[in-house]
Order: sequence, then structure tokens, then C-alpha cells
Amino acid sequence: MVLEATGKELIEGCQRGEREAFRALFERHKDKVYSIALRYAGDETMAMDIAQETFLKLFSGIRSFRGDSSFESWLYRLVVNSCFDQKRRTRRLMPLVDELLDALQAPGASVLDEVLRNELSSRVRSAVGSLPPEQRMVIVLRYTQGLSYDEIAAILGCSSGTVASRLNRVHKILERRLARLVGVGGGYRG
Amino acid sequence: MAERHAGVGMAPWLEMELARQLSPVAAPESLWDRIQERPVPRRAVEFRLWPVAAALLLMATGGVIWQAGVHRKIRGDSDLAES
Repeated sequence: MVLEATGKELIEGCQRGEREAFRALFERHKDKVYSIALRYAGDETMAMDIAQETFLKLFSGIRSFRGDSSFESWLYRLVVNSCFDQKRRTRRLMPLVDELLDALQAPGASVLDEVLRNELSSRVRSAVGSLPPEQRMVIVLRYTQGLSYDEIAAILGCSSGTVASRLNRVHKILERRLARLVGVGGGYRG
Repeated sequence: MAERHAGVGMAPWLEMELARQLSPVAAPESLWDRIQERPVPRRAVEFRLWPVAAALLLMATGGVIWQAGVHRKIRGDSDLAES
């Protein structure tokens, strides 16, 4: 079956215009593409747009894929470019209020713990969302896909040293912005 | 390896929180439907349009050159008639 075909066979099937091969390739990579889009954009609607755009670019350009680089690298570059092409997302006006209401409605022993945990989550998402596109993409590729510095460097077209330096800078920025919410040893400050 | 740089001097809570907040997710089932509903990508349309635009530009340029030639010929004829 097409779904069990190897990556190379699927790509060749797509290049021949076989519909089942397109579907199988989509099934194989959809979660990866959508995850990067969602974690970069921070918004489900925008993530759907980015993922849709990425697969359309993939399907329309797969005939020109010659296998000089790995298919995964090519796919990552497509999704990264689609992310960069998207306009900055519209921020939710009152994310903390939403989180607070969610926490209060949720059953549990400690509503306060839940509120604080949600606040930290919200602040992390917000802090990541406010990073410049290149820094945000580095951190998404690192934490969403677990890619190595060399892999990220190949996708973004920069050196591993640049990736390391960007990640280091991002860690410092996030730590500075979020540290006041966290106590020593990872506990939450009241 | 570059991986030696990973997490150097980084607070464990931040590493944990980033891993949690940026974890992979499953794509919605509706994504495939959206891809199928999408009209022809704009790039393909642009690819078909540019030869037409180039042909029109060529014709317009040819027309201008031809017009200039005609005017020059008429002016030359009238100069000859006056002399």
C-alpha cells in the first residue's frame, strides 16, 4: 500500500502526480508541519493557514525536488518560510483573564496552584510570541521538533554557532522575563 | 559537537516549561479538506501570465518603433518635396 511506502517511493509517486502518494505524504508529515506552525504563530487559525500554505507549496514544487538535500530539510525550509511570510498574529486582549476563568472553572484541590501554573504557561507563550521571528523559530525548531543545532542551522541557512548564540540569547531573555513568577527550585511565588 | 552548548547555564524550570509549552501537537483532521478546497496557487497563475505580459510588451515596443519609422519617412518625404 501507498501508506507503507518508503519516503523515496512516496516522493516519486507525488512527482508522477499520484493522488494517493500526496495523501500518504501529507499523513506522514502533517503533525510536524502543524506543530511548528502552531508553536510559531501561537494561534490555531493562523497555524492552519501556515500548514495549508506549506503543503500547497510542497505539492506544487515537489517535481523540482531532486534530493540534493534531505526531504525533511526541504520540508522544514518550506514551513519556516511560510511562518516568516505570515503577518504577526493578533494578540488576545486579556489572556490572563481567560486563563484565570479556565482555572476557576476547573475542578481541583488547589485553584491557586492552577491559576499560577496557568499564568506561567500564559507568560511563557506570550514571551515566546514576542520574540523576533528568527529567535522564535530557533526555539520552536529546538523544542517542538528536538532538532540539533546543525539541523537548525541547515534549515535556517546559518552556522551552528549562530544557532547556539540565538538560543542562548533567547534563554536569557525568557529567564529574565519569567523569573519573577518562579521561586527558587522551580516553585511558584505567591 | 554543537550539542554541547545545549542548556548551558539554563534554569531547569525554563527548560521544562519550554518543552511543555512547545511540545508537538496533532494536526486537525480538517487540514486535508482545506488543502483540497484551496484554489490554484497564485504562483502557477503568475507563471502563465508572464509570457503573455512579455508578448504584449514586445508588441507595444514594436508598434512604437514602427510608428517612429513611419513619421520619419513622412518627414523625409515632405523635406524632399519642399526642396
